[in-house]
Amino acid sequence: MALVGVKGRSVEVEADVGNGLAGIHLIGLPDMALSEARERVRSAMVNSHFPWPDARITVSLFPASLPKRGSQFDLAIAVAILGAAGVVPADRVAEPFFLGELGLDGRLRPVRGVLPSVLGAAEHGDVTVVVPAANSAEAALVPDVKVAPFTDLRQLVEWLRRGDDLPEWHIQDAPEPPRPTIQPAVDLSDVAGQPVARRALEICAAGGHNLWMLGPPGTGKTLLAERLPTLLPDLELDHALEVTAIHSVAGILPASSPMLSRPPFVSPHHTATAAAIIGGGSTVIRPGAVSLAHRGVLFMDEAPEFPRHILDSLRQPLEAGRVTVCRAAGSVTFPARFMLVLAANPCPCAQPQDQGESCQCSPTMRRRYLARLSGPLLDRVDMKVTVARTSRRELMADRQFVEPSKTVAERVLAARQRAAKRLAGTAWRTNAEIPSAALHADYRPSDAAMKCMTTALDSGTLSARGLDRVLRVAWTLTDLAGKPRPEDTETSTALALWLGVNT
Amino acid sequence: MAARNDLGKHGEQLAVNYLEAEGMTIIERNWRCRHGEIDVIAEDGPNLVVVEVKTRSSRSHGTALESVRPAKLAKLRMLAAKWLTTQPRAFETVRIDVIALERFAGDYSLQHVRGAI
Repeated sequence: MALVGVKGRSVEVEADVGNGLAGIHLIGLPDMALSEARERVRSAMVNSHFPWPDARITVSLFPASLPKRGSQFDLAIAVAILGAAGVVPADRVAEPFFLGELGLDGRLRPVRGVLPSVLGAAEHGDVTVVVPAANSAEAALVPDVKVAPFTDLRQLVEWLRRGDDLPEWHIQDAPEPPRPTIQPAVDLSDVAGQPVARRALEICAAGGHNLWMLGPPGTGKTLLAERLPTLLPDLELDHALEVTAIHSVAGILPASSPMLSRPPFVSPHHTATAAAIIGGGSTVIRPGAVSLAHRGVLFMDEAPEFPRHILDSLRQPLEAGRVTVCRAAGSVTFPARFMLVLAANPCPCAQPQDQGESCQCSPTMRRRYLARLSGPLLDRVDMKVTVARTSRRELMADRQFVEPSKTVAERVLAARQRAAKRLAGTAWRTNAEIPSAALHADYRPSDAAMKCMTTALDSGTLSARGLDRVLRVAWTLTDLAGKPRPEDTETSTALALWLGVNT
Repeated sequence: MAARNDLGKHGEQLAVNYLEAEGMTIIERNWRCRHGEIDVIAEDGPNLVVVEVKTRSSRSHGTALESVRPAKLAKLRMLAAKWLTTQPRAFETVRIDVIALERFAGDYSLQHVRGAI
């Protein structure tokens, strides 16, 4: 299997042992790592006490036009040569998919991108996939695929020669139900004194909306954002597979948990490059932060510190839910439907401004600082919240109102279920995903509820896209309140959240 | 050193016997110039055959056949051209063959690759 983006394409490996000067020739656009496969395969076979044919060996990888990269073809090449040399019956090696890197001693080493590869193999119907034992848990996540894990080449050859079914201990159970792997160590109840921001976070979690928090340092913006994942429900199976596939391609899947069942939380530093955020790479195109945050949260702390072009490059994935990366090697589309959370200080000096005397920044400096968050980007942010510094009295008073993440997560789950029920039969699950056309056709609130928005639209404070975003938030508020349709309260609250910060 | 030379000499003799049995005419053996040496030069009908003979006493350092690398073949090709310039006659084609001999329990196995380039 070759990986193109997060899709697996099947590759056929043929080997011919023929007359000519001894040597091995590898054709079919291999890269450096794959060209070195000949040395690995040779050593692995010799050290596993299999005869290495003293003849001219030609190994061809089809389709010939697809560039192949990486070491996951080692096993397929070895098996093809063994088949051509007559060590294993050729008809036994024709059917299964082989995936894995070979150690010099013949051990099978784990590779990255197993899940998308096996998913690609599953498209060919009822197949058997041979994987390194260390990758078996990841491969077993895919339904309707027979997974045959092996630890070394000898073991595999014995199985191929015997020609019977997988030995008892090889049979994998159906994927166990995904369990939460990250126990939330952080809790929303840690954040006192920011009731508005906490509420905004809840709405954000319930509808999958984007959020911008503006406020002086030390008010809990980062604290709040880091607690957003604790409010989100577990990923559904198909989403979990998507997320796991992306992380598998990036090679950052933890060995302990093959399936990511919790929404990811990605927080890139503001010195990150465009390629790190969007995805890129000259030979292998890897997913960036926006794709790693797929179905999760992308948190950009100190948003105005990010280079402008990076912030603006988020505009396309925010609208489309996917990102297409074009390089000389080809173009690849990665899924990128994430919740964007921005945090910003009101000015570069970040001194408290409400007391008046300490901030030295001129109005121009402030305007220039926040202008780095461009209008089109902010137009795509559904909710904007000012996080103000709180007094001791407010902190103490708010202590009794803080709720643990668990309580809020239950409300969020209930709201999401209501939205999912309403959207049943469509491709969307959260309010943030509803496209504009459907929003105005099927999910249009009453004229009375729309009044505040039409006024804002007429006066020019609300853009057409902004209207859609306000409508989506209004629906989420409706879901949280358990009402059937948005009313005046919901729409005006949503509009206030959209207009949010006045800069 | 002497033992190794003997092994090579013996291997070359075996190769020459084999080539003659195949119906080829040996033109020259161990032709040397300042650039190197051609083990056997033979004639196969209208074709000129330049033969590299490689003999190994065991497989402990790899097989005899695989020890002939592309660089060696390129050198043989160059030497063949040099040799041809010294000859008055012309051949239809020029072929480079490799004969690999390996000693097993006192006996030799022989592998003949025709037209390595």
